[in-house]
Amino acid sequence: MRGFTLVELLVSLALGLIIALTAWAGFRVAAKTLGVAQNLSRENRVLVEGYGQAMTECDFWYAEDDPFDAAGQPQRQRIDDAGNPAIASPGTTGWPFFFDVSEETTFGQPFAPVDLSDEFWNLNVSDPRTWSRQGCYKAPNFNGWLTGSYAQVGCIGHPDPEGEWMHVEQDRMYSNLGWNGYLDYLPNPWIIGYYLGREGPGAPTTDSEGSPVRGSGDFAEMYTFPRPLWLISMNGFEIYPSSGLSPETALGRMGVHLYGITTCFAPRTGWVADGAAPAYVRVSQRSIVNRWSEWAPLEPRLHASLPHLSLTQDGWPQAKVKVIRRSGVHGFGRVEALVGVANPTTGAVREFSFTPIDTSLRGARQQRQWAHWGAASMDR
Amino acid sequence: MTSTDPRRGALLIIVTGMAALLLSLAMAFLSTMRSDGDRTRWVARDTQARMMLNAAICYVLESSRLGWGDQETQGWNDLRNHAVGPIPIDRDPGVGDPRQPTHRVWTVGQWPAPGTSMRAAMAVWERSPSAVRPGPRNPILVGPGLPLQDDADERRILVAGLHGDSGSYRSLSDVWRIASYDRPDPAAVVDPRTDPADFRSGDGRPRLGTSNLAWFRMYRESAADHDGDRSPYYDVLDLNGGRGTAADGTTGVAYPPNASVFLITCGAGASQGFRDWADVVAAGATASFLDDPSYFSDIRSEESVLWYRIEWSAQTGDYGPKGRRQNQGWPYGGDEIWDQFFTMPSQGGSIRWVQRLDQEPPQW
Repeated sequence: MRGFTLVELLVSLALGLIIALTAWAGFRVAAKTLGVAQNLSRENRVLVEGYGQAMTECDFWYAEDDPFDAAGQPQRQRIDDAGNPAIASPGTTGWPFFFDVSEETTFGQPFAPVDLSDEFWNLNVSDPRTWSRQGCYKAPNFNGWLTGSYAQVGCIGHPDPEGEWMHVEQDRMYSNLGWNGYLDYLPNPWIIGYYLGREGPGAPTTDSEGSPVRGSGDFAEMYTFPRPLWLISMNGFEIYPSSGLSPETALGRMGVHLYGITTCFAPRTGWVADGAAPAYVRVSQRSIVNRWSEWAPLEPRLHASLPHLSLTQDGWPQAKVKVIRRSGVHGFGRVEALVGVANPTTGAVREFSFTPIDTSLRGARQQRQWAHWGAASMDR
Repeated sequence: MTSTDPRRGALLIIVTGMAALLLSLAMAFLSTMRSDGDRTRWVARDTQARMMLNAAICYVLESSRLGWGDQETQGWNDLRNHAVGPIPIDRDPGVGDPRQPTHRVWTVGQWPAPGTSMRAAMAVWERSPSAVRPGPRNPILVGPGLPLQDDADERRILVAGLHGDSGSYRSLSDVWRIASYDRPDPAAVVDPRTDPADFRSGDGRPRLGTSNLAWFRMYRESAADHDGDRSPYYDVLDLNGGRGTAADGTTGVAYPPNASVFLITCGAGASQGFRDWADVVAAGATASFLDDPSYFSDIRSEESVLWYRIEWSAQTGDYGPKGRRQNQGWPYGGDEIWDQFFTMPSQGGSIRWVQRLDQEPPQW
């Protein structure tokens, strides 16, 4: 047998090396491609999961109310002094509106039961009772202007049922559903505000259930509004001096959000994005005034997210889902969804936001009255 | 070396092993891509189906007033007396039983009668009815030195010589109207002066690539579907109640039932919105599915289908304030920006509430 020559050896070594390097490069490219594909696939999987969860929240309001667990239903009762946080407002004192919100102790919440008339559920726009007249009639004395008596048209306790109906409806909605729920249930062209009525000069005003409320005592001009609705929920302190006009001129449920004011729904404990403290009590009581710098600190507490979304494996992309329901001057009842992913391997952060058509509060409350969802008694 | 030298076999094994490794990597790659594709397709289908909810809502709003003949109608519940509409604006809604008023546009058992459904397979038309050309609308040509501001000085607009019109317009909003007289703008795709019928009807042929992607179905609920008797499962609230004063002054008269609640089925896929094969057969559309029920069944199984309920309202949208807005932080220091503000005007009414259903309803 003959051996290799040096040239043959060198050539074969070179060829072998080329083949080996080519094979190695091929494997390396294949492995890296697979790695990148796996990484993108994980991102994709997380994003798809986030999208699905965001849409589920838009459709079913799980973050606000758990239909299957009483512990997850904190927004099903009216708020009173028992254990619920008081509200703090930078507008609680100061010229010319001195008032003390701590005196107001009862507010509604969006999933609390409410009794409304049959007429509300089959709203007949040809029935004069459904017509809002509040833009045309002001209080008998507003800021020194004699502008006509609102009580001539109607108020709670008015002898004419036609003059009483709308006021009772609004009072029930506000008292039981809170500020945010009240706006959602309010027929859209109605003007916010209702007259409580009182039996005579100096007599206390009463709500639709006959309970005395503070409607005018320390704010003599405001016969039209119950005190919490105007001064607290509606942030009348902000609206009146900004508009320079009497608020009952015509503030609908979008107009009440002029001057940088927002109304939101908020998730319950444990379902707030980034582990922030819940704010559902706060937003069911009153709107958010950006000029008072209320929006920035509250905003993280208004986004619904899902508590288990971060429970992916170590090193996997982390999902971020945020869903917020809010109303402003340019849109009522909007839902905004944000789905994002942060990839610790690549450092990539991707976010997508969109505004789908969501289930409205009325729809969500009816869902909770389905037999297979617990058959809650909410709308009566 | 002999032909049985073990080194040759080793080389073969090494090459085979490497090829197998490459193959397994390729298979894993393909599998990953396949599952990614499936997930992405699901998102696309779900999004497409949700877009159909938007389309269906637009249909409800528009057809509350339009599309039932030459006359405008007055809503799904007629806004004049709450009778079950649509009823033309020039006909008396008070004639006959308000549940089936004499002048209604619908026939019992046919869309849009309560208790019936319709199907809308969506595709983009080649040319929509009354189509106009895209582009900026009514561009205003402003002469040198003429600032773009409303309530501009009348003479300055005249100096600009926009149309040689020495009319009495006082602001740019008037100029906007005058511009439309001089030159049709936006311009029609088909000149209505030469072919008005073609301009009006459009070209209903589906644009390439837009067919068989999505559809919606709409079921107009009957009074029994929302009378609070829990049948179907979502019927938890009586939406038909209420009593009031009739037009003749009679008090305590029961309202006509709520006929403005719709169950919308949103679909993404190629079934064209047919519910089942019997539906296809009844519509005479079997040829669209190769006369093959299993083909139709395959298509249906690939689709995303979502169910929603909505309620239409005659009320035309949220009402803005007639107040003043000031353009800075402190209330008394700024200029007024507007003194009237109206938002979301919708001549077709509005949607009172939306509800997603989690189970297939019996009727859709």
